[in-house]
Amino acid sequence: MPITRTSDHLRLILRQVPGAIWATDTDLRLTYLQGQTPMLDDASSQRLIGTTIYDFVRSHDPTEPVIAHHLAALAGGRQSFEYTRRGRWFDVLIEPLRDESRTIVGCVGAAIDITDRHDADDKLARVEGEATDRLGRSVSLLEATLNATADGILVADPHGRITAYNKRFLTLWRVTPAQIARSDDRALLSYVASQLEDPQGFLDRVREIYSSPEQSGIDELRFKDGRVFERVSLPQMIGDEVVGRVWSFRDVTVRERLLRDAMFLSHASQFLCSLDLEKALQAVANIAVPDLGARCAIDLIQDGSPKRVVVAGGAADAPPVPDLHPSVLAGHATIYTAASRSQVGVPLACRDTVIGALTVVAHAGRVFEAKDLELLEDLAQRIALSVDNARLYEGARQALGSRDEFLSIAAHEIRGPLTSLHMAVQGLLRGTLSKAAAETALDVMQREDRRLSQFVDELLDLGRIRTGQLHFHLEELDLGTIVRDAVSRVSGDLADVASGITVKTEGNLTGEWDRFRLEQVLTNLITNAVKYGEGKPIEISAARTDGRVRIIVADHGIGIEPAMQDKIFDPYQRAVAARHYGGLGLGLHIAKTIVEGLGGTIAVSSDPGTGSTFTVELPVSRST
Amino acid sequence: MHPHSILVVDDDDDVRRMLCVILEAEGYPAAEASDGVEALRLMRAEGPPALVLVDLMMPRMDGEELIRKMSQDPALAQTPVAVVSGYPAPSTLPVSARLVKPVELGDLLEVVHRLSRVPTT
Repeated sequence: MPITRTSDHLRLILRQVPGAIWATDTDLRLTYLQGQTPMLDDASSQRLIGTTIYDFVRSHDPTEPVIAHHLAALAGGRQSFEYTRRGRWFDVLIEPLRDESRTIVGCVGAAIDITDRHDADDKLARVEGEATDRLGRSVSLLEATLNATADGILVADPHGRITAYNKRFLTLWRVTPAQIARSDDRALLSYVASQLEDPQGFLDRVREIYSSPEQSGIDELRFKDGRVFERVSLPQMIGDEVVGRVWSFRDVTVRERLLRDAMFLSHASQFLCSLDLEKALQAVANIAVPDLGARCAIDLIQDGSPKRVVVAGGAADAPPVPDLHPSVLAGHATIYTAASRSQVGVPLACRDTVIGALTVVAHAGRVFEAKDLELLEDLAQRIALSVDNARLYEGARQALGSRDEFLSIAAHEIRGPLTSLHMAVQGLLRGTLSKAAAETALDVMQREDRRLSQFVDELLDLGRIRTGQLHFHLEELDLGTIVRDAVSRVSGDLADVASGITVKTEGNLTGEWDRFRLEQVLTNLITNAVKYGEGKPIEISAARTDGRVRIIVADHGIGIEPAMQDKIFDPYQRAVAARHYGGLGLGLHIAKTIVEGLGGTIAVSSDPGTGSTFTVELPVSRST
Repeated sequence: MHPHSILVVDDDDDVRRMLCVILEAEGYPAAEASDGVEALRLMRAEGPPALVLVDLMMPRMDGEELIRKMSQDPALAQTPVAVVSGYPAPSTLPVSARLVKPVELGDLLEVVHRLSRVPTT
């Protein structure tokens, strides 16, 4: 084949290749150049023939890479390198050019434009870098999240070796990173187990969980120091494969305490619903021991001083509950130490009044804290409410009982005069009565009429007292006269009363009072003395003392039991069985209301069996 | 005590007096006592009456106790007793009649006629 055709073919082939091919002499002068790149076409190739490689790189520095590679090729080495120029990348190969005698007569070089491949490689590297960055960030985020969670987390491989943990895990279990780093799993397990109430139970459970890798579980760990953890254990899965186990621990001590407190209070409240107060208080004290302390006592204020109504807890080593702390009685919940034990005293308060106290003695070695006080204050509040309710109920029950008794007494008292009236009227109508009998009948009618009127007056007075409408019409009066009038009126009504009534008056006894009401007080007191005086002498005296008058009505009859002396001035009260003595039992209540309405006082002193003395003191005028 | 007499036991002076006045007007000799103690004393001293009219609520000894004591006393156990009280007498009380105050005169006289078995004069 003619050489020119071969050369033409070669040129055509080379045109298809994105790159260039060249040959130089030993001076690196281009003797041949054929190129097909954005920078080199046929025309510019022909122009460059005759110029040198030094011209091409515009340098004569033998260390300049293109020059250096050409020189190395002249020295007989095959050179391969990447070269970049004007934003394009080339893969360059330079070899020595030899003649037939194998003498190096120049270089031959080829450069392939690899810019596109190079760009793709760059892009790949960039994407790879970014992916690595993102992964790193994700790992950091995961780590930060792990450390920011409230749960302590530990991750172990299927053999129990620790692969990850967070800071909270270290804090919760009081483990140092060094301990985890150096410790073998067994040593770490036994260290954490030693903090628990039941270390063996814990270790058994861990073993059981590891023996079945897919098992998950939740349970509770109780610490010797009182803390409670909730433990969740889940297999760590990638797809279907178990690659480890995640343990998470949450400190639920506060939640547990609140739950326990709420349950305790609810339990106590159930007992406190009972209206049998003492039984309810005993039940509450019984559940307070040993939950809250070694001993528990409840005191209630009775007659002005605390009385211990309930004590619970009799452990031999627990000291008895001491007397109430003064600041508790003053209404302040207090933590204090007595008999070398921590104690809590909480007032039972109701409507701003201290009605008692709850005291709890701690178990040995335990010191009460604010949170204990909080629970006991809540309990005390419930107890106080229950005591108040029970007392209100008892008061209402007694009031209803008294009212029922009063109604039955009133009915009975009215039946008496009604019967007499009935007999008298029907006897008169029947016409069988003699003249003397008819006179007796009329006499009885008149007296019964007065008796019934008096009942009605007393009932009306009770109504007025209840509605606060007992009014006074003051005028200047002589007490001596009123006393004597009252005595003669009672003696007249009770003509068969054998008792001798003596009246003694002293000094100036004038004052400003309501005549009708004062007479009513005296009549009630004297009638009372006659009724309960057993027919023995009755002494009445009236005397003036410092702007006041003092009236004393004393009998020597059956007297009044001490427990009843406070109650006889209450409505419907009578110190002795109602059936034996007539009357509505309102007299003393009405007398007291009148005396107090006039600015005075009324009191009784009495010994059962020896008689009673009623003392009334009245100011001589409303201004004194 | 006159064997035909009727003993009225009531602590209410006027009730007692009025019952006696009515009974006497009807021809019954009447005696009176203001409580159980006095009634027992009277009956034991003077012999049983034809009939005892007794109130329940009284001081010292009430009607129920008087009735129990009478039933335990051979000399008084056969004497008929009628309760005249503010409340209905308990059904367990061994008495011949029960009257509730205020009593109708007709009812009273019917009981007295029936129990005293004494012809009116």
